[in-house]
Amino acid sequence: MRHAEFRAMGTNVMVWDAAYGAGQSVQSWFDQAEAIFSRFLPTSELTALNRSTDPAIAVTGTMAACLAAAADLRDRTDGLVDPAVGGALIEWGYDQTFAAVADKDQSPTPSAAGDWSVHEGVVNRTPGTLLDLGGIAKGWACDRAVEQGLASVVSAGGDVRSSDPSTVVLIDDPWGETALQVHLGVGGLATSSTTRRRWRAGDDEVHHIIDPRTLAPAVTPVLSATVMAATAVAAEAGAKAVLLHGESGLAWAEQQDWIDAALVVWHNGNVFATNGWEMAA
Amino acid sequence: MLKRLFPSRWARILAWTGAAVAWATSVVTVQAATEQDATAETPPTDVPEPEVLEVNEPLAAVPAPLEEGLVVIRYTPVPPPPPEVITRTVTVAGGGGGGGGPTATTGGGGGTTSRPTVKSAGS
Repeated sequence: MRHAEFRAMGTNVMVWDAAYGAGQSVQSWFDQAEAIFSRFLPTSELTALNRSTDPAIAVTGTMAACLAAAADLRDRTDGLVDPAVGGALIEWGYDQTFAAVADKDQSPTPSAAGDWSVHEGVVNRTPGTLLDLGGIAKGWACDRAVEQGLASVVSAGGDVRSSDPSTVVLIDDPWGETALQVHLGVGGLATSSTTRRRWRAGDDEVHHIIDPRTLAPAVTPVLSATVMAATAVAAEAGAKAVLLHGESGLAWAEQQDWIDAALVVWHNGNVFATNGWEMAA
Repeated sequence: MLKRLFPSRWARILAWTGAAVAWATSVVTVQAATEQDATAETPPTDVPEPEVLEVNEPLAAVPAPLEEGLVVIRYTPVPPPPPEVITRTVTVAGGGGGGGGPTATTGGGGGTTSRPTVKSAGS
């Protein structure tokens, strides 16, 4: 099994495949995906979409497919995972690539959340709705890379998609220790954490996971949440929803038939999980 | 004017008395109405007090119970020190999201490994 690694979409991407050149193929795909989904590239399709004042705007097939997945996951998570928090993310200070994010003098007053939908290649939005596809696009790009046969396993920013039955994942806690070593096999897995991508806004230390209910960085006892599902994008949304649900996150995950298993690292360092994890030796 | 209207002394006394009684009655009536309004503004006793929301609730010590049981992977009575917060500088250095560097650690060298072993630490 060959292994390659490169940087794209603001994170490390790792690729495993038996074939020579899989890494280059996946890198090429991720470069395309970044050119479409980046909130920071001035030439990206998402930037054009967010800049447009048209309430209805036609998008490419790739954008439409990713947004359709996002809309589906928004419904499955009862609106907890919604790209429409893009405006709030900018107001809180995540207004450029994370390397360039600067501390803010004060916390913002959250504005109203927007609404959006996608149908037959056309995105409809309420005025002022700004979309952020950060986590969703990463997971979706991993899925597409594996589904297109570009590689057996692709991992990007904690989101993993595998078609290799032997794939093992080490779930790290925020201290860098392995919380659990699991056998993923064929499927998706993702971890969402509040301890990464943090900055200051006034007196508060804030992070990038915005709660759509408050339009502010989530306050939760969960430091990080990991979910196993059929795809990386579903796992990504599931992990974020578990984190946002907080105390009831695992109980919520247990009720979702599209989530195979969930794990949380609690604020006090303890690690809890649902049934469904297959430990790996 | 009163002398013209009430030439008799007793008629004037009677008129003054009547006016005084009428004035006193109107004062009592206004006061009673005011008290009635005040009573109407007082909420009925069976209306519950508005719930006071705790803004800084302490974080729960454990997750809510699960139907199939909570699986405890790690439990230590003494909490560890706060985790190192991964800030933008770490992200620039390449830690961002992917859980660090290459993690395919088993198998032969030269970028090959017997099975994919991936790390997931969030982004």
